[in-house]
Amino acid sequence: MQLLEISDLVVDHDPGTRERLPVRRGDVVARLTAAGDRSGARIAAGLACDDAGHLDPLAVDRRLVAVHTELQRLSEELRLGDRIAELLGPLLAVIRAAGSADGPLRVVDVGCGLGYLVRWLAASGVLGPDVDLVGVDFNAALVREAERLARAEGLPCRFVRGDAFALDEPATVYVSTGVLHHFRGSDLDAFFAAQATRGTAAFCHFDIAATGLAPIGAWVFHRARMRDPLGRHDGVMSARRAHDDDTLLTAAAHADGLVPLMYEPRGRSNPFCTTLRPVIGVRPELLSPLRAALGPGPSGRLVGRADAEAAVRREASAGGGAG
Amino acid sequence: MNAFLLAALALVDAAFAGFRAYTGRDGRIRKTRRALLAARRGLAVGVPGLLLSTAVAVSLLFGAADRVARYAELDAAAHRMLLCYAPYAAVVVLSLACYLWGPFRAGTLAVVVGLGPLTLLRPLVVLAGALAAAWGSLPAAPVSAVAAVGVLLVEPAVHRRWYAEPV
Repeated sequence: MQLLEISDLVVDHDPGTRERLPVRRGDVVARLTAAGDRSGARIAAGLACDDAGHLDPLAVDRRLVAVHTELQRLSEELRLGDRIAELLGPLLAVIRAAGSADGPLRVVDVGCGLGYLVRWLAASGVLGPDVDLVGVDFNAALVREAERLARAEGLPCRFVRGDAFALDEPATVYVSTGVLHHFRGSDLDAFFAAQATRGTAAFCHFDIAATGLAPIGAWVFHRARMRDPLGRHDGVMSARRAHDDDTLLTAAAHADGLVPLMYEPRGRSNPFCTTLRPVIGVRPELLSPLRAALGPGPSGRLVGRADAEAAVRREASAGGGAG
Repeated sequence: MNAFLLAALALVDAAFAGFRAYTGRDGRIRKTRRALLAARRGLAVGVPGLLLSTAVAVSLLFGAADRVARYAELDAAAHRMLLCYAPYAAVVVLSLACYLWGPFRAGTLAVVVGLGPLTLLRPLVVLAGALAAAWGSLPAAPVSAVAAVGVLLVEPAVHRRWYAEPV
């Protein structure tokens, strides 16, 4: 059975112009029905549309903003900000010390939605004032709402509608939360490959930990915390679509020049305490300093493929010998 | 004493229900003040329900031929109700303490194992308490029914009145 999220189906953009394309409600319902997802098809069938059967874009936007606002509650309760700061703080400190960044340090949140992560980092100031915080998303309505929320609180961050990997200014670190499971197969490889740019020192992408508990936990949590059936449906689907550690490490290896690692992989974390965990990529020369900056406890939770780590150690020792 | 403890629990629950009605409706980062306002709104909606169940209990008490016996019967019903709610409340308090003051991994544990499932269980616990109170005591049945309905209506009422749309 193909696992589909309704929110992925109700908005479509022209890949070239980024202009919004009309979406037929019947097509969404048909895709969900074909995937054997009757509850999803029922939810989609209830979405507002015009006489021609096209989904009402304003109603869809309102619904998506409401669902993402509810979804933010989960990020808040699961202390996503703290989790990311635990890694990004030491990572940026190491990048600063190594002078690895071309220009100012810039953290770009890929597929930022309402920009909770970027706004939380801006509000907490935990990364320091020299870090440019940017949220990027294809969805114009979500970007507008993210901007509105940031303005309402006077937060030092900004939001851009478009392709996060095609910004005029390069990202020092790419981050994301809950985005990876939207990509499958070669699209996932391409997602990581796009981050292998000259100015990028690292990436850190959080997604749902693929454990046997995740779909049950997601059902309980979305049932208890979310009111919108669309949000509940997509939340459970997200957990069912989550990639395992091995898939993520394999895909992350497509980012040339960045060493792929998992933080808190399965087997080294308690699934009740780690519902989301990141796949990380760092420039080889930053790996040892990052481990040192994280300290012995957290560093032990950072695990890469043995061959990739051995290659980094060989390179480091060869560099040391030459020096 | 049992009745006072139940009233205190109902008020605390109403404040939390107000808070829950607000959560997921405000995308801002700093919102402690608004969360407290939502809790106060929960209290404001919860108090009339509490007063109504008190009024039902008082009228049953004063309408009885043997007031001492009726008081003892209602007090015993309140005690049975409390026995249902006290363990639930204790686990909630423990989970909340872990969430608020523990490291963030312990906080996640508190949410995943405690606060999330407990929210789902809450209506069942409220109904179980009402049934326990009414068990074998006909006069306690209307009091516990009014109290349970009042408690369960706070969250949807606050949500509908103030937080139907994102704020």
